[in-house]
This record gives sequence, structure tokens and C-alpha cells, in this order.
Amino acid sequence: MTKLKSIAFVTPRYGAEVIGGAEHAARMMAENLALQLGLSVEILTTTALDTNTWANHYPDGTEFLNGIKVTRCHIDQGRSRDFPALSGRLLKSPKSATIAECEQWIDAQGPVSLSLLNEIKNTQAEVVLFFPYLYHPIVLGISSVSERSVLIPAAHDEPAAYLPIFQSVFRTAKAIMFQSKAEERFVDSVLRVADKPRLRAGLGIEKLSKPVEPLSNFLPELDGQPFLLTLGRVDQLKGATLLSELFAEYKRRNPGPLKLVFAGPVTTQPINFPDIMTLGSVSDDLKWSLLKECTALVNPSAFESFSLVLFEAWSFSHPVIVNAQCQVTADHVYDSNGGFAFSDFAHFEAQINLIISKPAVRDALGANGKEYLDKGYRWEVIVEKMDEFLNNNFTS
Amino acid sequence: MNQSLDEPANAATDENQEIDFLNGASHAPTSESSPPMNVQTNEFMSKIAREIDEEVRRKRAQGAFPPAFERRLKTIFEQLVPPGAGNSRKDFEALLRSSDRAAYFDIDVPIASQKPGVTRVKKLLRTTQAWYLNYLAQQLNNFSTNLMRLLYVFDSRVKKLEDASESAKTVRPSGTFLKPYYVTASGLDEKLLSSMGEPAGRVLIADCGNGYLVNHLNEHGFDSYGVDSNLESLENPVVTSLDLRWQDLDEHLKEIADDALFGIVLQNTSDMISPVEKLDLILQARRVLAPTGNLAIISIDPRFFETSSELLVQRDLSPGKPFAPETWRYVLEQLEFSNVSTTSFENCHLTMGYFTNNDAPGD
Repeated sequence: MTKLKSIAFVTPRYGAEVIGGAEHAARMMAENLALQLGLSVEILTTTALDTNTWANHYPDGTEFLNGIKVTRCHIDQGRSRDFPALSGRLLKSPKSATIAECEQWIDAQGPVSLSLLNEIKNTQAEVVLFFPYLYHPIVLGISSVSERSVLIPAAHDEPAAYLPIFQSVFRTAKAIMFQSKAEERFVDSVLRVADKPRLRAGLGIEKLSKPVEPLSNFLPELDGQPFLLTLGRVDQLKGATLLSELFAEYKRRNPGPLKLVFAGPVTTQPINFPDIMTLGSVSDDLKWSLLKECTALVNPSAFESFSLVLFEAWSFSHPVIVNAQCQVTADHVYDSNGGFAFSDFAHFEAQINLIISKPAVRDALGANGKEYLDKGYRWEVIVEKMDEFLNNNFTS
Repeated sequence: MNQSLDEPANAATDENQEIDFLNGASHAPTSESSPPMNVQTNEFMSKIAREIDEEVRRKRAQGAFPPAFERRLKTIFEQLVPPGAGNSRKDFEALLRSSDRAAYFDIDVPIASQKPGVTRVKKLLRTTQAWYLNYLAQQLNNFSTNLMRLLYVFDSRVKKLEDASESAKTVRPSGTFLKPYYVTASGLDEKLLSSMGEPAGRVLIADCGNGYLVNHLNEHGFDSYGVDSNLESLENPVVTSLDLRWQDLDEHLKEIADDALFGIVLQNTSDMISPVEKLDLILQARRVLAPTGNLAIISIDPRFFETSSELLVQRDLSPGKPFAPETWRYVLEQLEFSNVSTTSFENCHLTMGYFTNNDAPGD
């Protein structure tokens, strides 16, 4: 039984419209903690929705979202116009940046909200969880509640993590919660916080509360067709170009009905190829239909901090294929035996051929993934782990 | 493709068939403990992996992946390499090869254009400037060729050094190979507690075993945690909520920032490492101790080590032997610990030192 009564989350944006990413994970975590433990959970955030500009979008003040109190603070400065140039310069050799340059980078990146910093300082919550590590409210806010703070960095191997300013941010946190063992390894080796109390909780997957609609209701052309699904932002940095090139090559060499479907907001258009479908942003209903009826899910990104989509695919007992360069997703695959990791075209081709031609293999991989999800990544399991961790470290 | 893979594979198999591969003698400890895999799934996955590799080898041998084709796709892969990649030997070799491929400056500038006449203009420019570009390119190519040769020589020399240092590594007494030996003595815990002073930060218990000392210190207001390289020792903790981790001590210390810890307790399993490793351990411990932090060394009595039948295997296989308390005192004083003191117990000693000078030489 939890001894804690109140916790607060600090996150740069929060809302039902925030889909994917660390902030979405923060909402899921907050709602599940409140629901399962009966805790008072408060969200301290800004009025932003768009991470590219951090423009004020929601009205400032307090509202309740799914039973959670959300306090939104006005943004004094969004993303600066100088940010891309500054970022380009600093992130080429991040370790050599000075603290003053780092501070300038944090300010320029935004969102800067002085009232949010005040809210953090004045919160009465017994534990304050900061989520993720990269932004101004976290970097500047964590020191004011250091002894009550838990940092949930959602970090991965990216240039910004090497900026010296983050050494002190991580050191200031009383405890750290990781989403994956790759993240834990990376943070310990780069930011040297192995002495900190920690929990590798991961993120949870909801059980679907309503039946999934047949895909033919949305996309009749895909009905009964085998297809690989990629969910999330369609972006060169997320591996969209890589995957579309690999898939086009695969299809040139292995003709057949297999298609590749990109579902998610498009930043970089994949290459134009007849068997590649780019749907753009999709509704939740369509997303679940695609997940239910896909042959396998592919996540080609080399930069992931957790990759919820793998677990969503496993919830339907489908195998996954990931980029072996991404330690986080590769670890999930190796630990679960729920799919494959590719490091070149030759393996990508052989893996797809195996999944297509051997339904028994596909089913076994999917079943392994489902078992991995059910044992460690349901919200009931995660909330229980968090409850024990927070009580051990923050209650007397 | 192997026909056997058509047979359904059951992911959830009989629990009796479970094997903890992490406890296998050949498995080195990492910072991580993964859940045990089950035999059927593991064998099935190995079979699939072998089948995929064989398929790739077969196609490669047939010339299905021409070098130019693989190079083009590799370029796309390389755009997504995380910044920390390149730390492993394999990554380094891959980087070296890709640098080698890029280390040639071609003056044959593409001149094709869809705009009318532009191709001719470009061709004219290329022809008229060829003598100049050629001159520059020759020098750059000479430089890059020599640079790459230098890198390969450097790589080969580093490799020799790595191999030499690997063979010079001694067998650690704990970990997966040799079972650790934890000495306890009546009155030791109380003495340790009273010597630590008021809690003022986090305390690391090295070679923590089942977490007995961690729990003892926590019950008295300390914020302590433990690491142990022997997974078996961690399996039955005295209290389940303790922060106990499976990790090598030296690896763990490297991942802690300077001045981060209030205290470090080295339990007696560190006794059996070589003298050089002992000194290295103390230097590492000193780096992570905060000013006024304290170091406690619980060491096996050398006479007990030499005569105890319980320690026969450790005695034969360990590269080092326990230091006498006088030696520990000498070492700590030389390394600028102050108020060094020893208390002796049955079969073991507790040596305490306080670290005050963070700018000591040798850091």
C-alpha cells in the first residue's frame, strides 16, 4: 500500500493532442499512477503544443484532464530563430561546449517559462518527476526541488546528451528512472550517475477497451494483403528514407503482393515507389486496425528511447523488425525473441522472406513478443514497481 | 530454408526446462541481469538466426549483393549512426573501412544538367580548371592515403596492446568464476557504523552479497546501496527493496562522477585481487569520494587466509592475497587519507580512512 499522497510531473507540454514521444508517455504514467494508487497527481507544464515553435497554444491556468490536475504556464520565449545555427555549431563537438554556451542553447531551444519555474519551486508534492531531460523547465527547475526529484530522462545516444550542462542536471536529481537498459547503460557511461537510486520501469501498454474495426472499413485496398507497417513520424532521421530504400530494393528483387505502409505525420517524404503507401497522420481507430492486420511492424529508427510501437505490435502477437544500430529496440528484440534486428540489406531481405514464407516462425516470434509485453510492460506491473521505488526513496 | 522451422514453436514452454544462461561459467557479468531465457525458445531463435545467416552467405557467394549496391545502401545506414557508436572493436573497424572509402578526392566533377547548354559550360569549366584541380587533388589524395595508412598502422599497434593487456588480466576472485567469500565478525557492524559518522550522502557497499550491510546502514539512517559481481550472491537479499546491483566494482566506479559518494565500504572479496588492482581500486574510490568522505576496508586476516580450509580454492586461484592491516594503513596514508585506523576482529580487520584532499597527486 502506498505511503505517498501526492506527486507532480514536470513536462514541457501535456495534453490529449500530444501523441507519441516522452510527453505522451508522461500522461499515460500520470493517469495510471492516479488511477491505480489513488495518488493526487499534478502536472506542471507550459501552454505549448508544437515542439518546433513552443508557441502558446492552450490557455494558461488550471484544468482537469482525465481526472488529473494540469497547471499550464505561459511561455515567455519559444524556440529562438538562432537555435538551428547554434545547435549546428554546438552539437558538432558537444563535449567541448562551455557551460555558458550550453545555457544559451537551452534558452534558445525553449520553452522558457518563468512562471513554470515558480510553480515547480512552490509545489507541495512529495515527489516531482521531470520528464524528459532535454528542455528548459527541467534543466532550470530540477535544482529547486532536488531532494524530491526523479528524472525520467528518456535519453538516447544523441549529440545533445554530451553537452556538459547535463552532467549537473543528472547529478542534481535525487533518483533516476529509465525506460530501457540501453538508456541506463548510455546514461551511466556518458553522465556517470551510477551511484544514483534508479528504477528501470519502462512504459506500459494499455489493454484495448473496445474492439478493433476491420481495416477494410478504412483502407479496402489493403484488405487481406500482406503489409509491413511503420508507425510514427515519417522522417529521414527516424529512418524513413532508409526503410523506403531498403523496401523498394527488396521489392525489385522479390516481386509479390507485400506492401509497406507508413502511418504518421510526414516530415520527410519516403521515396516514390508503387508498393509504398504513406498515409500521413492517422486516427487511433485506423492505427489499431493497421496494427491488428499488419504482417509485421518495422521500426527503422536508430534513435529511440523506448519505442512503444514495438509493444503495440506485440499486443497483437505480430513480430517486429528493428534497426540493429538502435540499442534500445535491438535489446527489446533480443530480450523478447519477438523479432529481428537488421544491420544491412542482406539481412533485412532474409528476415522479411522468412516472416513472409514461414507463418509458424512469424507466429512464434509474435507470441514471444506478446509474452515479453505481458510479463513486464503492462501498466499494472509498472505502477507496482514505481510505487515500491518511490516509497523506498521518498518516504520515511 | 530449413524445413524444421515450419513446425510451430511454442514460446511458453515447460518451466522445468528453464536454464539461467547468465549463471553459466563462460558468461561475463554485465551491469545487467536479464530474465532467464527458456531452452526451447533459445534453440529455436538460434536456429532461425543460423538460417538467416546461411541465406545471406549463400546469396553473397552467388554475387547477389554487388559492392556498389551494398555501398549505396551502407551510405544511407551511416547517416543514422548514433554519436556514441564506434566504441567497440567492430564499430572501429567499420569506421576505418568507411573512412578509407571516403579518403579519395575525385576531380571528375559531374557535368550533366537538364538546363540547355549548361552541360557544355560545365564541361568547359572542368576542362579549363582540370590542371589546377588535379594538382590539388593529387596532394589531398597523397595526404589522405598516408593518413589512412597511419590509421591502419595505429590500429594494428593498438590491437597488439589490447591483446597484451587482455592476456595480462588476472582472474578476479569474484564474478562468475570464483565464488566470493564474505567474512563476518561479531561487533564489526557496530564499529563500522560508529566510524562512519553522521550520514551525509550516499554510501556504496562493494561486494555487497545479500545486502546485509546495506540494510544495516539503511536502518541507521544511511542512504546506501550495493554492487556485487557475483549474481548468485544477490539472489536472496535480506530485504527485497534494497538497491543491490549486479556489476563489476571497477566498471561501476568508472560510471560515477568525481566527489559523488559520502562513503565506500570495500568488503573482503577485494582482498584476493592483485596488489596493482588493489591500488587501482583505492585510487578509483578516492576519485569518487566527496571531500570528508570515508573509506572502510574490511579485510580478511592474512593468517586466516593462509590456513583456512574454507579458503583453499580461493588461495590457490587468486592472483593476490589479503593485505595485513599495517599494509592497508600504509597504502591509505600514502594516498593522503587521514585519521587512518584499524580495528581487529576474529578473522578480519576494519581499516578506516577519511579523504580530505581532493587535489591529491595522481588523480
